[in-house]
Amino acid sequence: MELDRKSLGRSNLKLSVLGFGGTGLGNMYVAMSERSVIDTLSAAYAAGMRYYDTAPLYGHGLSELRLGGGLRLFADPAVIVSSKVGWRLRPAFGKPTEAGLFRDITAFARFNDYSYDGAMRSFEDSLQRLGTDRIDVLLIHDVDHRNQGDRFADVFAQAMAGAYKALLSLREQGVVKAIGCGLNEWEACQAFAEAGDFDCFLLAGRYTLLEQESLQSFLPLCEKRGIGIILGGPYNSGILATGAVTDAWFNYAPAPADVLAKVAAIEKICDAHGVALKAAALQFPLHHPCVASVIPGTSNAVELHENLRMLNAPIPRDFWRDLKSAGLMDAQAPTP
Amino acid sequence: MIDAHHHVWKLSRADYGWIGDGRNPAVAPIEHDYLVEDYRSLAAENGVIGSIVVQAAQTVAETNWLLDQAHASGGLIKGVVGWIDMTAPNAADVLHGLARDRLLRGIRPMLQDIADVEWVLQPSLTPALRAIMELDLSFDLLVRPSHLKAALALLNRHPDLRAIVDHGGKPDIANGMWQPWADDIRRIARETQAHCKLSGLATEARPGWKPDDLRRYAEHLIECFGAERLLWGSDWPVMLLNADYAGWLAAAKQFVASQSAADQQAIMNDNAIRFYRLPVSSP
Repeated sequence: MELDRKSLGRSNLKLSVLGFGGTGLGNMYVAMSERSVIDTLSAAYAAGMRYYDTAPLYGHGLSELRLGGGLRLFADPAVIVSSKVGWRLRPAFGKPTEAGLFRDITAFARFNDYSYDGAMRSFEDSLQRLGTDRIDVLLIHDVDHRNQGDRFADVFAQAMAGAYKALLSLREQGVVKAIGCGLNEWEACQAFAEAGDFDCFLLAGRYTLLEQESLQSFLPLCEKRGIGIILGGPYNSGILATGAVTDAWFNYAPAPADVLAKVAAIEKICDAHGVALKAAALQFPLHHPCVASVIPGTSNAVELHENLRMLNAPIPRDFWRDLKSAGLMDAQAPTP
Repeated sequence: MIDAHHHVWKLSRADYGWIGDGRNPAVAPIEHDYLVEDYRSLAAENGVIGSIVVQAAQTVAETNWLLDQAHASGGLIKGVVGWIDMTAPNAADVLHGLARDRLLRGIRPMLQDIADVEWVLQPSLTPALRAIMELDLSFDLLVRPSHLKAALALLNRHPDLRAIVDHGGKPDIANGMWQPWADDIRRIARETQAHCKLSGLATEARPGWKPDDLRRYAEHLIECFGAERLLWGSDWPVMLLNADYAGWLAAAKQFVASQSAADQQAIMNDNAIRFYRLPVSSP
């Protein structure tokens, strides 16, 4: 099977428009069995997915280890892989088997390290876990307010003085092809875009059917500079997949009332046009010229096939027009 | 934010035992109904968007009532920690029946009220404990410091039991108790995968407590269990005996403020989602 490809900004990388989000391989929310890991990765490759994102944080190395198994299975040098620096791992010596949103993790504990040497070591550790000599895209992970809180400004300065320099050096040597950041906030992405020479950003959830604030300044800046966007969390942690049900999730937590109300309003317009909410959520970000790939987290082959179906579901032009005229979508948002 | 521990009760249900019949002066200030709608406004004021409600009566009827409350809560109550008679020969069947409701997330015997501190170690509980493990439910340990050694023995016997110590194991803060609580908590944290709730500490302190009175205890829990295995909870409405919701939340936030933002997020939100297996669909 073939999936469309889009260029990641001005880099030479062409990502499949549907990429593989690696949080699930790290047992985020649910623990995947090893059999399911292989089934899911095989199904993804068979479906034409040629871009896979992972990070040391996800399951504290588990996602990279499992993706490494998949890469050996694919044996395809054309597969594009991104991983991240900023969270490093150390042996935990009997400490927790669970952490944050991740279950049944490795015997490693995580800690932040945005130094130059830390980024270099992290990169080498990732190569070892993946069992590969090639990571195409390397991203600075989680320098945002959600993860750094009051220390954001300090950590930002550390990352620019340390990890960023390491990424520049790796790109200059041709060891990685593109560098960027993987963050939960467009504001933090913009701060990095203004401070350095980045090829791309992996933005989680901040340019979706539900929210387009990033259209104000960040995405125009990316367009001007030829910066590519990989869009994580296209379902905003679930609510754009489930709809406004009472136990819907938004931003890694139960959805608050205002978000539920907005999604319910979007769903009415979906119903009027016979459009599945999930299809609209998955396709919307890809209409922006900067967005090269959407990468929903994938925990099993059923979800994966559902995503593929949603990617290809026809959506009438009037649907987008109605969302805009109802004030549920930024009128500037690129749509067919 | 997720509140990993609170209650609701309707005293006319009349199966609570420890509250509702006017015979326990210690709980007189909270001896009236506390219902989901009362909790909802507090939650909204304090930025809590989901919660775990915990049993307060030793009956399956109350667990079913809590499940009904949770289903009718419009998504606010994300899970129920209920009760079964763990010594009953049909305990496992009862539990399998209750667990058909996905909102049942755990079981809690009221160990603190059982005179025999080693009650939890009796072999007749094994089928119930096995069922808890099979169903991937949690086991809430409502214990006082005198129960901690038995809790440790239980967890060493069943390393796969997903257990959580309620209210930090209830150290007697008002009387300045430190040992053996501190060492027993440290051993549980070090030797087992048990989690712990950062909750209920104010209830154990003197009236008019200041955050500094609780700090040493809270910091010990943070040090022992780390940001991976600590879950914030309110223990509302029991906490109203010696605190108010916002006051305890503010104190807890102070105690975790030295942790990274990601770790604070884990204690106040993420760990509850993971530990109680709250159902999440595709991200």
